Amino acid sequence: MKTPTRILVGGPEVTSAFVLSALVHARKRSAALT
Amino acid sequence: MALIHYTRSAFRVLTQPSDGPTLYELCDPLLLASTPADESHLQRFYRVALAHPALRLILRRAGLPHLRDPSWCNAVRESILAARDEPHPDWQRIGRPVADLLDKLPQHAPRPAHVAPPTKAIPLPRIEHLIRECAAHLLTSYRTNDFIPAYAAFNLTGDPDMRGRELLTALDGLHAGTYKHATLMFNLARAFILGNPDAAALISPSWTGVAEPMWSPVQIRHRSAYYDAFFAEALMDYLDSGLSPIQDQTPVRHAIRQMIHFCLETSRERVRAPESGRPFDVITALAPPPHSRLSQFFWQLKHDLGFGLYVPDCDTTACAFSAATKFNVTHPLLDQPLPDFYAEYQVAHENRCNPPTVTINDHLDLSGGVVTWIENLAGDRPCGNDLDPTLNLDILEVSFLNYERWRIGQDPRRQRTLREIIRFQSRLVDTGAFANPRSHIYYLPELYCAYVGRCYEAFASLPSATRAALDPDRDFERIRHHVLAYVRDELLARNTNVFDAALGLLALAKLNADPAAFAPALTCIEASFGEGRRPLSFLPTPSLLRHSKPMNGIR
Repeated sequence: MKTPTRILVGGPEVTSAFVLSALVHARKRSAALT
Repeated sequence: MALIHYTRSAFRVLTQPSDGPTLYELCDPLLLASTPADESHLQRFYRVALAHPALRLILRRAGLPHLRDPSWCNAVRESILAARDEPHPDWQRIGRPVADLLDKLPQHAPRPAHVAPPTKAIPLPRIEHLIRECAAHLLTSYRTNDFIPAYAAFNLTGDPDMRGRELLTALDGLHAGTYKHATLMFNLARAFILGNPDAAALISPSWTGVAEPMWSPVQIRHRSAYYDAFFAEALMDYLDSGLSPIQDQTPVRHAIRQMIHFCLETSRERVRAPESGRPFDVITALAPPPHSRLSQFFWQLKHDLGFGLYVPDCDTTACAFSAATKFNVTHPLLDQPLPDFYAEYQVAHENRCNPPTVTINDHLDLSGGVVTWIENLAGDRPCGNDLDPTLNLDILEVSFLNYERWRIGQDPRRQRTLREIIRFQSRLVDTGAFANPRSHIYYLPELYCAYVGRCYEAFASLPSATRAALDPDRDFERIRHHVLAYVRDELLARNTNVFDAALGLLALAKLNADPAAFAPALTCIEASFGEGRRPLSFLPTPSLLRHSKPMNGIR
């Protein structure tokens, strides 16, 4: 929520998980078209 | 931020003369009790959260020239006294002088510069190497910790969309006095930080891209069902990629099973649907210790400050059910038709006693949206309620995955619940409001786009007759078109960090974009790899949630 202060939630594992999923789906999409 | 700029800011913070009263000159006489035993909640909150030595050092000379005006300064002082002493405070009156301060100190959301598109493609073997490295990072973390942690950090500079009007809305809309106190005092401190650029630069240095790095030296490590479901889904993607070596597959499956167990069993909470009183088992935001893995220090601190109460939320419930469904788990919890429950929290449907109260994004037509927070059995809802677009995508996604199990096609009420959410999303995207950070309570627009992709993928897996029945006006295709254009031509056309790039790429891939559009995101991810220290693949900076509940918001 935007109040009373910002609480940022994330961390190295969260970044790795997003990158992992994004690359897997990008690879899958590229493979589907070749 | 370059070290030299940081050092200069630190020097000025320590040496510059104050230009007006400081936070501590204003508040210490009103809020510092002679002994902790005599403290009210507001006093305790001030002492622990704002008057500690580290923040004092940064803000000791941070005066606010606006408070040289004696009438304004007195108005703030009277507000603090009223919040401290009055049994039934008038929060509009109390918040007004602080709201006026915030309106004098505007902030702006980051808007990175346009960059030229990359000229070099990332080869497939390199992409596969990065996938394996990310998976290895997650598995190593799981093995080391026995769970995969997320981290929370405060940023006292607040959110650019949170201005005077929004402060007053929040003071009225939050239910618990402890949250109102935190809102008032954090925003008062925020005004002093924003009014002193050198202090602001120390607390929140500038960064590349949109998603904000987690700079804070104090980060609260924790475990929650929301993140367990999220990590489980990422590891399922790894298994589906076919890139995991045989020896990895058993530990990956074990980790996924354990995380889903954490969601469905450890974090399970019985509630009643607010209108019908029908019992449902949902997933709580933060399980009690020891399950949440918060340090004893932080858990005690939260409790002492009056933020020990947790309630479940619609988003964690949807994501936990979704992960379990994708992993083909058999569990009686999954047989509960969630659309029946969500209908009773859906604005302009059956929601009569839980309207959104923290209506910061009420420039949107909220009809059809489902609110965030679920009342517990005792009737508690300390944060009031709010309505977030991305959360509503998660509800759609889990409902599409369970369309047959929940017999949605045979139940007009369940169909109506989903159609109303689709219309809510359609309005949000058609008007372009989805790209405005102000429309979102918890997440950035880029995360909304990635989750549109996730939702679209589930929708596209339904038979065509089912899709036509749910979405007769083909709203989803329009949404897909608009979101793709935004990600390709706006988000990824600018300077991004690895987190922005991953979210943009996820949206493009799941919305079936032309792979040629992947290049900027792939280039950014590839270039960022290795910035973190081993075994971390990337600098551990960007954040998933940009704002959350005060102390209770670790979801």
